[in-house]
Amino acid sequence: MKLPDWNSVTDEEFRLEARRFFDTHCPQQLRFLPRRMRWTECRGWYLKLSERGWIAPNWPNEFGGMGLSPAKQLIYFEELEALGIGRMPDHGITQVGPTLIRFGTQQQRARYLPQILAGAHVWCQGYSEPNAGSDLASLTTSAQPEGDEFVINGSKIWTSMALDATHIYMLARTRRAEKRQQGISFLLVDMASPGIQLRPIRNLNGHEEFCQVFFDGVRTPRDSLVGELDEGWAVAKGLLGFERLNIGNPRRAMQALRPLLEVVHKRGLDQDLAFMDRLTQLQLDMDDLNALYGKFTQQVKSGQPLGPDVSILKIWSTETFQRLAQLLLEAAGPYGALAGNLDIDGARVNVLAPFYNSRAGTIYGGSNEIQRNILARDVLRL
Amino acid sequence: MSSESQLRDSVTAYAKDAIPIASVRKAGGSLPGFDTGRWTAMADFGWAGVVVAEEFGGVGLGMAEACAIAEELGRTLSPEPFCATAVLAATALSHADGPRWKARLLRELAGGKSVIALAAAIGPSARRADGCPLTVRTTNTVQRLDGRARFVVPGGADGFVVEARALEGPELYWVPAGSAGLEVEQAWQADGTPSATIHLNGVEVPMDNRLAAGDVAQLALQRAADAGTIAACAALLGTMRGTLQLTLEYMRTRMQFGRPIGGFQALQHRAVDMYIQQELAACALADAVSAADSAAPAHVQGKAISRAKARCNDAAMLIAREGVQLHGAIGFTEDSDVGLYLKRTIVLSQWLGGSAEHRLRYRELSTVGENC
Repeated sequence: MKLPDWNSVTDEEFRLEARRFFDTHCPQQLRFLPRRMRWTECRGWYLKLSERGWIAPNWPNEFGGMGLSPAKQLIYFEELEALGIGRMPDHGITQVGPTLIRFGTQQQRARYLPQILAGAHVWCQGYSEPNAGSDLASLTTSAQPEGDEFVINGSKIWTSMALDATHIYMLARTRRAEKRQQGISFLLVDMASPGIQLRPIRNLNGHEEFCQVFFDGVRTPRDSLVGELDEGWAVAKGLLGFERLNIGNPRRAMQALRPLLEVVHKRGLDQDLAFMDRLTQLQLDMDDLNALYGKFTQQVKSGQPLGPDVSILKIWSTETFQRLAQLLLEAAGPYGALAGNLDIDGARVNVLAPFYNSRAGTIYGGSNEIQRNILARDVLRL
Repeated sequence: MSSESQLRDSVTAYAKDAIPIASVRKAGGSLPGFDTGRWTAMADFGWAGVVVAEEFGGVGLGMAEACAIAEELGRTLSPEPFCATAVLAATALSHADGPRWKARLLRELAGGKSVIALAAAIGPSARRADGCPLTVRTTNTVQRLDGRARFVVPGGADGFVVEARALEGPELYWVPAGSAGLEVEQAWQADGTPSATIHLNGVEVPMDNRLAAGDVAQLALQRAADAGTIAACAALLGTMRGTLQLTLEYMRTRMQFGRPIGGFQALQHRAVDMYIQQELAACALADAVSAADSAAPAHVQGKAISRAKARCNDAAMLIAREGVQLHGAIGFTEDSDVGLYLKRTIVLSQWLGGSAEHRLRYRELSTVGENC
């Protein structure tokens, strides 16, 4: 089937079409959730997008994506956020897809990409370990080559949406090497494999969105290896660019801006000039975030690799989200102390959820302190 | 290669030899406040007339090219009046229609023969009436101008395009320096360049010195303010790049506790925050330039421009302050170049509207879009 080229319609036409489509097909109960969507509840919505060829806005057309320009991708996410439609388990779309397109074999692409699009495979990420967080290269989970299989032992932690995932992409040590970054391999593992156990962890916001994943003699075929054996660090580094681009997606910060504007209006704060100057400052931060996101998305789209400078996007996006969430709390006044879904003079918002949720972004995907280390070393040459 | 990057390269190449930082230091505090030889050279290269149409002796390029020049000149701390004359005044004149003077003044401006300043209440701070509007009274054969205009740059201009308030709205007049009844009083800006208060005590100019009136004058002032503000943003981006580069070099070479101070994480993270602000400023400026060079409605252009100025002001001031701090005691000396960057940054960030004023304008223009 030939997919239509959405880049050839005007921005306004695309915006209206996206709005119409999302609003018609996304069930009301999925809107404005204070947490990440669970797979069981959002599967139907995922499939709806998939059927139309709208599930992967960032993938090239040839792999079943929409191949959207950066400007159109922004519109796509803006319209989702405007309707209160949050993130689904999306690692397959945002991480695994781009990685296999870049590093995978023909067979791996053929095997996994259609399954991601069809919603048959749901992915999670196995990077951090209890003793390997910021210092990721010190990871100790091992994958011993045995015949035509790897045997995995160890554990991963802070694995988001692991409860919903059918597959995990992970880093494991395949060889002891002098340099810690060597001897690590990048593997794709079926979560149904015998020997995998999950321990859900409740987060600050009270939801079980992440897990510890235990591997006890888990066997996975040799062809689950992405890239070269022992060279997984390079694949992971290649993926980090996509991860930072994904975390840098302004849609997270929009989650706080939308309720903020509503609360400001309902509580009459638009008459308070001092408050409005702070709000405008954050709106400008948001505009500049959009521009920065557009710049890096354009880089990917034009086929240039992302450099270490993409870390500024991760920092700016996550910290802007936090500033917006903080201002929302202040704007809510006494309501800001109330947990759960609120009705603030007619504005239906959850004030604390964005505040809690925004804490995670500066920690995961390489903490913002690590991002600043990277920028200092690799961009500023300090 | 694009014309912007070609221009940028030629400005860099020229500035490398022609604008040593010592000359910037020396030029401060005396009239005209810049190097006339360099300004002539810049006119010969076509920079003074970059936005002036070819029929008036310019090269007829857009804001993207003007910004490439402004940014590089900002980076090298050139005190020449590129933003104020080649962009701000040139844009006002380009939108004027006075038949006697328009072509001649644009030609002289682009050729570097006349340094022209715009004396008008423009930018979002104009509403506070810091610039007192001049009044004009028309007799049979002459126009009589009274009043004063403040914060006119370059202060040492050869003549002024002044805004006067008539009953029907703003009007623009050409008033050469040395006109009878014109008194030019200089104040020195932080970076040593002059800012004039011009007093007009019954200055009489011929009828045809009127360059624009009514809607034409209004539009000319708006376009000039927009273009000048964008150029100021580009110059600020240049000072940011210069300051950060200077500071990073210092951090790589200054040894304390047996290692370069750039090796300390606390300082690295501050340098990264300077860099982030610089890159955001570049993004905001790029959006403003493409809005200005597009056919977008005025309020959309205005929003992008105010957004850019607010960001560039705040980013440049942060970078300049941190630049001084990271240099340590040397940064507090008059001899240190980082101080020159700070002073130029102060001047540019106060010019044509501060951050809070531009945020207010952004907010007001946002509601224009909603009401449509």
